Amino acid sequence: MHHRPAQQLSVALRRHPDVAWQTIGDEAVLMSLAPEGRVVGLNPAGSLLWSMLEERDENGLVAAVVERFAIDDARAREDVRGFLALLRERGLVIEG
Amino acid sequence: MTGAPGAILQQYGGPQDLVLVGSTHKTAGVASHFYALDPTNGNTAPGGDFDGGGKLGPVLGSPAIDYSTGRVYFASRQLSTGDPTVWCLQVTANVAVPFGTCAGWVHQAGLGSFDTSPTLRNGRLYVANDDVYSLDAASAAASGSSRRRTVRSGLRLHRPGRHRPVLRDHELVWKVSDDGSANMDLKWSWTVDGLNPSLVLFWRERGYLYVGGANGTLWQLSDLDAPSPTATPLVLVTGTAGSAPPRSTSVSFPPPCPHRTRSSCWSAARRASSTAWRYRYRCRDGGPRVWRRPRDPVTLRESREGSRMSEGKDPSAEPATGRKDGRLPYEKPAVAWEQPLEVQPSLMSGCEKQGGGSGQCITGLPSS
Repeated sequence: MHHRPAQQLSVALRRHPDVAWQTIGDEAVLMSLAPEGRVVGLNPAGSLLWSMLEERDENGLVAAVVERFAIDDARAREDVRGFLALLRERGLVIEG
Repeated sequence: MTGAPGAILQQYGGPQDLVLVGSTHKTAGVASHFYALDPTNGNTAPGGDFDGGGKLGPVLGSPAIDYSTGRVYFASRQLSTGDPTVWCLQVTANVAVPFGTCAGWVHQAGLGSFDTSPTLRNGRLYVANDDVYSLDAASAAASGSSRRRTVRSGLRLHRPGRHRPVLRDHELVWKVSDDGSANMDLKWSWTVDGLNPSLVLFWRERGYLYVGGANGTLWQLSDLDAPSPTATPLVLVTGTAGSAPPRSTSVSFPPPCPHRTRSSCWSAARRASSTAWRYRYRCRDGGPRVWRRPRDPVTLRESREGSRMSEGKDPSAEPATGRKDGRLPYEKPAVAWEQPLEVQPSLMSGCEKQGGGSGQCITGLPSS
């Protein structure tokens, strides 16, 4: 099976300034303060990514998931990208 | 006097003989006092009345004494936002002024309130509320000196009445190890229903830990190095075993809309600033209102646990995660749960009692 070269995120992401968050155990709780605000709990893998979001690029996030959960790189990368897309859709992160 | 007394004694190398005890001022919001008493007559020693410059909150625990330095450590509840809660006093041989400020001690903000007693070990000062903190006993706040362990299950949600959630903490006895890393390792935690544990007594030679419970039982914990201790009830008596009174919820919500009617308020949101949650709410008979409350971890926990309780799930009953190899079982990163940012119906007791209307209302929680 042919894999395309890993593609880096073209734009760095950072947490939306209107999102308050805190980790509780292995779960991150996010409070979006937008008019249609929501309180969101992330599972352990999501919490890990959220906590490292601004310190690591995509490769760094993938490496963290691989290190923490002992899964293969390709699966981790796919999941990281999917999760970041989910955060974007929900307005929990912004570019820049 | 609400604190458990302690003493610093010359026979153990102390600079003076003093009995030490904290108090709670009968008027809420007024500074409490920590006293040094002359054991020969029970009078307050000269200079032995400390109120933290008007910032000392209620003291419920006992002091920890460092005989090598003559320092006295104790913890308190927070009187006002930003006030210190972990204190260090220097006792000297000068009987005229027993209390002085500990040199180099810098109050660390954001630790929260404490009903417990600090413990000294290996140059670290351990204090606990919903978290266990490891502070440098010399400076408290020097960079990199503090470590913290969040004990997720240390906060429990009880519902003595259908619409009366009460947050109670201090239900657990914890064992942690501190190897100097940023996050201490939680070895085990133990509790039984209604424990509300007292201060613990550790019998090092036998490896026994004794703790009193609010229901009158004295527990002996053994096998302390095992994954979980063996608990043996020793005494069952009428009354309590000296535990601190349970701290009822610190949760408070914005002042209610006029008339406290359910239909009078219809929306609310919380916004975070650097130091406070900002609740924006609107009453039907008025414009938007803003209410601020200090930002603290309880807010989020309360929100989360309140949500789960409203779904009929008890968060404390969730199975523990983790594998024997120490790795977490992998689950694709995702949103585990989600809820609108309105206050949950289970927290709206004041409004629901009034009845009428279909809007949402925020009001203070009733005292239990």
